[in-house]
Amino acid sequence: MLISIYTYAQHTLKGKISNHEGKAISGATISLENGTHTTVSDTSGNFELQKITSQRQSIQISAIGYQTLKQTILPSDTTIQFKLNTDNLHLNEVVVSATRYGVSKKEAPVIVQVLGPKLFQATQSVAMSETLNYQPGVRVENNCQNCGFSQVRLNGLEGAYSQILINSRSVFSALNSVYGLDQLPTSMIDRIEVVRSGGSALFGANAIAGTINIITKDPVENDWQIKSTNSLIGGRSWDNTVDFNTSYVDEDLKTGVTFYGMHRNRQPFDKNKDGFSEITKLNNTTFGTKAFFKPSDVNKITVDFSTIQEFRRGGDQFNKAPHFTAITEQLETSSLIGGITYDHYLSDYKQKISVYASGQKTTRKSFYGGLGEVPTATDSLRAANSYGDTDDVSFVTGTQYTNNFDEDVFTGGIEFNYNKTNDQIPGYQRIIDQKTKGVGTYAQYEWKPLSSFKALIGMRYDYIFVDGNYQLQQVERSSQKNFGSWNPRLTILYDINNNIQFRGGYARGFRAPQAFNEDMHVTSIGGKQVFVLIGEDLKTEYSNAYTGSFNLSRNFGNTQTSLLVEGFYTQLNNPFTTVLKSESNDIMIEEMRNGTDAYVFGTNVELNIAPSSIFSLQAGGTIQRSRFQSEQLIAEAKPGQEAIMSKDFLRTPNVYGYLNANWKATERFAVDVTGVYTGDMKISHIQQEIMTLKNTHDFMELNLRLGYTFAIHKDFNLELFGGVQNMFNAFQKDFDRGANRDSNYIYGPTKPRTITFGIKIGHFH
Amino acid sequence: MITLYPLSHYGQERIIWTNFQQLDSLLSVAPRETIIFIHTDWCSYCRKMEKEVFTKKEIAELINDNYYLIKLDAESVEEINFDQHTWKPQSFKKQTGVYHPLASILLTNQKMIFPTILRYDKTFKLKAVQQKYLSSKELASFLR
Repeated sequence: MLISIYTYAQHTLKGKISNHEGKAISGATISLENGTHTTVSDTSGNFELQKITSQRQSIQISAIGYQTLKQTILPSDTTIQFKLNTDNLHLNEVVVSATRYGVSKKEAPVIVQVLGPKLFQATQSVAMSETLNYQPGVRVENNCQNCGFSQVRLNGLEGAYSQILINSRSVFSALNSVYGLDQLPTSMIDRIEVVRSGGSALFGANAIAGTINIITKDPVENDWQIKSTNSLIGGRSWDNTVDFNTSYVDEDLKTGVTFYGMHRNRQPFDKNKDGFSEITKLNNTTFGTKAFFKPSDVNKITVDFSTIQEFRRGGDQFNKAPHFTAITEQLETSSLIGGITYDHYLSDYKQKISVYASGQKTTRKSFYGGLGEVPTATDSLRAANSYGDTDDVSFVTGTQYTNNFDEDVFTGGIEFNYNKTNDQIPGYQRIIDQKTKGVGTYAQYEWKPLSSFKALIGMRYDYIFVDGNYQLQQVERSSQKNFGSWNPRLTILYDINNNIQFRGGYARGFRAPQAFNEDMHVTSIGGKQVFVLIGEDLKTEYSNAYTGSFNLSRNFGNTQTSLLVEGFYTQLNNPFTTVLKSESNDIMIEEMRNGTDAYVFGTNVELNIAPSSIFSLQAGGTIQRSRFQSEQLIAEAKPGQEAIMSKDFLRTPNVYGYLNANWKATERFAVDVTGVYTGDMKISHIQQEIMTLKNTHDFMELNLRLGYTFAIHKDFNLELFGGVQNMFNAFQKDFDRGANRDSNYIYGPTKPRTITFGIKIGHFH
Repeated sequence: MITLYPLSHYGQERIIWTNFQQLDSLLSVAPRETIIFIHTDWCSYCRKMEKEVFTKKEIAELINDNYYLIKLDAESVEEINFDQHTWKPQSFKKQTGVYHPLASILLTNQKMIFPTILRYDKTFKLKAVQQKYLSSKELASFLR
């Protein structure tokens, strides 16, 4: 055995840590990357590391409130001055979604964008749908004038391509995601983590476009807060919300509970005064709780539960029962969502095992229909039978194991999920009766061979059973499939130097043929109801997603800046599309078929600037194309209309962006300016049963919020806030009029100029 | 200097916080062990300890009977007189991560994390340190 007799020389490294103004930083942690030496700086910012090997190595310096500094030191270095910059952009914030356990945002191999309470406040959002626009690559839009069905689109792909998670669990079923974005109050949300592109296949390979992880509040202190937000939409319709949240944690930190609730009333808004609403009437009451209990230092039980009751209605003559109006879409939804998790730590917190179960049950009473413009006896009979009932249950349970080695991390788990949906509208002989079950198992290894390089290698295997029966009038269809799918994922993070990070990744995904969210929604066009029917012999859709990005962080003087430039390319094989059939009946049918292969590609850019802790600016934009490889059929030919084809996806602008600027003018007074830019897009418009494709114009929505906080007492604050949303009234001007309108012909910002004001009281910071 | 510190009390539950100015004379007149609680504005665990742990009857009694208790905002921008020295802050504007020199001195060789609870003997020599949230049970055993 050869014993090395060569040893490196050793020396002492001294240094001083100060901030940008030259003031000493005491208590900073200085450590060598190989983990052998760590020390802390003294009151003058000085430190000393003795007997360190004289070789080229990496040193890391971190301190609270400052950006972590990594630098290479040479064998010849004996005394060095280090300057730390303040961390106003919260680049070191801890996120969960990229790797399914907590990691600092800057260290996460996949880009995670965090939406937190400040943004909910700056945009005066009461429900989740209102905040999601303020992210690169994310758009929320309203697809239906009659019912306000909104979708979130990541990187240009429709809502059903994204997975919405609640506390990292996929309990949001297809039905929930139809209206769910409006139903979740911001008061229950601690933060939302958005991961664009299939790089996050840990949560289920259905997340082709990405994941939106809603993380509910985890309390520490005993807080409470009540807020009233009042908006006057277009100067005519009131939208009032009262929400509260309160938390209690026992002083031994072993038990804690949070309660939250919201009650919202929105009057319908009729933009063109034709008697038919463009924004629905909405009543929502939500209540929920999250509690934890720590039997010992190494285990924890968390339980969460919420109930959502919502009533929404759009159309005309709100004072009449739906079957006596020209058009009504009315939905009464009642949902219960709950979950329980057990966490257990081993080996000094290096290993963790979690076991969890979550479920959701929703019942929905719907009415999609009406008498139309000139009702006949048949119309009356049909209208009276347009009431429907939907029952939806989903359940997920599993276990996950994480092991933190010195540098590397291993995560693995197995999960079982189940969803049963039954949607019946007897008047149209329309039934959706669908069961999906799946078992998934995943493993991921985060490998960090060098301090500047990290790779995430993962694989997920799913075995899916889909069993669905679909009926519409005389037509009966079914989808019965069981199959397995391997979906790998690879992401790398490379620190090119102190200022530049590169991330790249590949992920595979799939969607089994089944009724997705849009299919549970019935539109009304030209006085007829439009239903989605699943096609015959549908094949599974597969996707391959590639992303590459550069993240540059640089300080110019005192100003912290960060720039993200990301390129993405997602290829879809056998994507599901809908084709409007040519049959001329009393109803219209959109048939779900596999389309020609498609691809979505583009660039997301995000810029963050924080000149100081009182001012910050984020702006971002996306330039992309979403297209089919060859012209895709949108509507079949029929007398008076040729086949409508399009190579580009509809409802997807090629350019869109957002802006978020915050100024803390004084300790009590804050000003926020936010905005969303929507570029022009192609959209279909059906008039007198003939479809044409139109190009919309672009929109710029700008919002302003002013807030002033009074500190009445040590434990009691009062905030008054107010402002204008969509101050330039950038709102669609060419809505159809009357009962025969195409209720799908809605695009752009979801509300006109709205004045908002309110008050918030409580014990908050 | 007249100290208005009640050196004896009966059945009092309210915890007594003193300050550095008074501490000098108190230690010369009636030496006791001192506890210094170092916190910051943004530290939610510190707020919780102040509101819920230090206010507990058993803790208040234990501390009022045997210790002098001081709290120090690590990012304070006030001048503090203590031990024949005036400690002046680096600037008059509060900033996260910019510490008061007295806090830095007291936390020599410790990490700047909060809350920090320091325990000094009667001659003001550092006896024990805890750098995390302590429940009333844990604080009681730290003090015994």
